[in-house]
Amino acid sequence: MKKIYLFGLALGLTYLVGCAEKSAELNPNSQTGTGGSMARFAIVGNALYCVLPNELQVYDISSPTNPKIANTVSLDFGLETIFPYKNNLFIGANDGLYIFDNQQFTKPNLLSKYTHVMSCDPVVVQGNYAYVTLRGGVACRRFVSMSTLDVVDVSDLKSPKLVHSQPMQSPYGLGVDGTQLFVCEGDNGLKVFDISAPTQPKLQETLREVKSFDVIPLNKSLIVTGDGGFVQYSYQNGGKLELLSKIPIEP
Amino acid sequence: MNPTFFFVKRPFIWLLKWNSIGLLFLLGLLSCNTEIDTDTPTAGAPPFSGEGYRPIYMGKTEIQKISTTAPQPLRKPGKIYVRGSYLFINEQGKGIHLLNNADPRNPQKISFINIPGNVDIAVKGNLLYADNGRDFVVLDIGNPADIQVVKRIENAFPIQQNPPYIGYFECVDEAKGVVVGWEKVKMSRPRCYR
Repeated sequence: MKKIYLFGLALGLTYLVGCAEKSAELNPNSQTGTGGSMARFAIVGNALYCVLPNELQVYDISSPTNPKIANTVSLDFGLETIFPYKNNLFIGANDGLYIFDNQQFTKPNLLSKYTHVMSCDPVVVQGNYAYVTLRGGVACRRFVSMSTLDVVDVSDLKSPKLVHSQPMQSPYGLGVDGTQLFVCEGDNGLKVFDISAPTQPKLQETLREVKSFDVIPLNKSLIVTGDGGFVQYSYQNGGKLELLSKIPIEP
Repeated sequence: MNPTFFFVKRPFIWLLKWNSIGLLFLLGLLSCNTEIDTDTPTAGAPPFSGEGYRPIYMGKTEIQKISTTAPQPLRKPGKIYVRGSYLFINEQGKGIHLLNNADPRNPQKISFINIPGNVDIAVKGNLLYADNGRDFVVLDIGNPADIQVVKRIENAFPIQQNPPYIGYFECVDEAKGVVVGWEKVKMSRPRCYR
């Protein structure tokens, strides 16, 4: 009996550790999938998070076909995206970035809020840095027309700090893997940044013809969607993108 | 924490704190402006280009019709989701293109899942969690050619009052149905904008 219990515990722990890190090297046999930075839904362990405009809903899916509301966290208006990373949830909102501890999956605990100007702002995280695109202009930020790519130091999750900002054209989703950062620029194409120096993203390549909205870098292949259709590239650290396949838009 | 409390109380505090210009500024930032004169827009209202967003409505029974069909062309792809070699591409407001991406050089469309009003999904095991208009649904995708609805939570999500874009839009009239999407069309200056 004790053995079974220990085995269960070990399994549970393996599961916890397995779930804890969302990385580009996802196990292809993983039960849970992964979304892009534009996602409003995310599953971590037995919790399914839904980002609604003014609250974070947490569903308990331990009984998978019967999700039950486990928690609702009310926040200010304008929540847009969720990115789980390690033991944290990063939630992009119109006026900032919320960081939650979710070691207890169904009880996310707000650690801090990094506030910025009004905009649309998906976020991805790698190591000690969060990469946030702030889309301005007519689409999102009425009084400021500038769009930016910001790097936020999140090594102290309770006190995130802006360490870099550079102008962008019309950024939407973004993805990060190793020394490369991929940013969808809508009608202005897809941009690849070298982040060998994580706080100094350096533009490496612009694929102007790839109208892009959402992107996922996964196992060295990059998945892109947008008005340019569905495109896949292979990428190597530091290397150029190589086209693998494309499914065009049909009228 | 009761959300209604938040919504009601906060603007009230602001009302006390801000002068009327501040309040207008705030309204312009955060909300659908239904009280704006259509002909002479208030200071701070964005310029109108002659185009705005019109809600696409659907009746409730129609919305709940989830089905599996043969692969469909990509028209307005939205968000993407990956699980194992499966790839899910949202067709904005319509559903999900399901693909086998075991060979990224040659992704194969498997089927299309009609989920009216769909924007977001997440997958665990053989279960796909999705928004279906205002409802939250769980689909069994074990047989990709015949997807089954195994759970529906009605009205899990709030009414969509405005498009996910900033600009002018036709105000939502709930009597017309549930908003499943928005289309940008030529129109005369509508009352609502965000």
